[in-house]
Amino acid sequence: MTTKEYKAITQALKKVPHSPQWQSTLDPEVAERMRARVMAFVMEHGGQPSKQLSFIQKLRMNLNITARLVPQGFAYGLALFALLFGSGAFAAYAQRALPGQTLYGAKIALEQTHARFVSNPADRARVQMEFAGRRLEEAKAVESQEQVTEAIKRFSKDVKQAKETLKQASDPVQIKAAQQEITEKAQEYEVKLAETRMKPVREVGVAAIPVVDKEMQEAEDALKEVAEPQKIDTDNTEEDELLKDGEVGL
Amino acid sequence: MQNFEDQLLVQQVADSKDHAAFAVLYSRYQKKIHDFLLFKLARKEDIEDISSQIFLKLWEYLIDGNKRQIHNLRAFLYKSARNAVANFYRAQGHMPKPVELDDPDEYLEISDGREDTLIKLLKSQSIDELTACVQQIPESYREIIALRFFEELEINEIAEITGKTIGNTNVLIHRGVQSLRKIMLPKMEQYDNQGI
Repeated sequence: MTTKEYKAITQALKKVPHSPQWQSTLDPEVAERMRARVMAFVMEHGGQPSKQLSFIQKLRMNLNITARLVPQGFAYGLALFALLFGSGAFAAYAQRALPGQTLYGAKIALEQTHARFVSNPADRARVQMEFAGRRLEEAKAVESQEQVTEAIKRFSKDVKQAKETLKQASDPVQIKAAQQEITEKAQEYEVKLAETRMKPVREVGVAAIPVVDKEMQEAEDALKEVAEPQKIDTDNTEEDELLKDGEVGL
Repeated sequence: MQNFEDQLLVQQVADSKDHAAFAVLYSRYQKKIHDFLLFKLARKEDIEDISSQIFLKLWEYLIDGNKRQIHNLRAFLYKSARNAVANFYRAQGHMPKPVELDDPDEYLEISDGREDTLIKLLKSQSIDELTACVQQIPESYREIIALRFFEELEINEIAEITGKTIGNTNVLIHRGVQSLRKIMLPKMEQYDNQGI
């Protein structure tokens, strides 16, 4: 028998169950009688009505079945994928956390990790300044005195960090560009900070009061400091001096 | 996916003796098992009786916490059906003849030049004629042909049901197809003579 013959027969065989001769002879009445017999046995031998499963029970059941059906090697791959996907989902969820919430610490930690991965100090300073802006948004979104204070404290910290990071940069062109951007941001944040200062907040047992405290003052000082142009030490300073004196021509 | 759904229902039955979950499983497999038994048993009453027994035993198996977990319900049910039929025949003093698998390479034959005739014949034949040929092949081959081509089970499932290796299962399927071809030989000669 050749492969061609084999294939022809197997193809034809798939049609056999549809032939009238091979059609199931299970009469619907007989089928119902058999079903009634089986289900009566089930009820006599401990059959119980369906229970509504909780989310946790359903999840546990699904995980058990998946673990049973999936080959072990594949299961490790799946677990790794779930870990990576899960951490991504966690990070996305943590991004929405506000001061005082459980995941707020995780959000800050993720941002700090993000900043550490930026190798260029000038760029890192820009990122830190960007994060400081998020603290102002948080201060706007929260209501209690405690939450606003926490956001403002972190804002000052981010701004100071941006200033310190920029000091580590060595390329004058990059420093200049970053400084310009940071100064613009500082001006923008100054306006937002003033709005936050006027924001009425709730405090336990006290009616809504505006935020006026040392944290706000500290934040304003940090902004002023960061907006000041940084002193740039360049290698060609001496050359500039010489050019002024006309000692070196082109 | 089918197996995953089965497993969910099996788990519900095993965990809380959920009769509604069992009813779903029963509806899903009643006809399939009944049809499979048609290959193996002649009397309708025996088919109905054994078919019901298989599901009663399934219930007892599932609610018994000491039993091993079922990884593939479909294979489990066909295997139960096969065992139930073997027990039925054994009780009647009839032992099914085992299939010899001494020479697994036996099926590698050279073409006798009739493949075109066979293909034409298969195309021209009605399904009923082919069905009649299938009913003439030995029972052990018919069972495996039914599982593979009618019930569309995977080779590994058939191997699990029949208790054979995957290699032996492939050999048996091939031999089943080969015996079908042998039964069709007279028809092929007739076909050739008619010069169609």
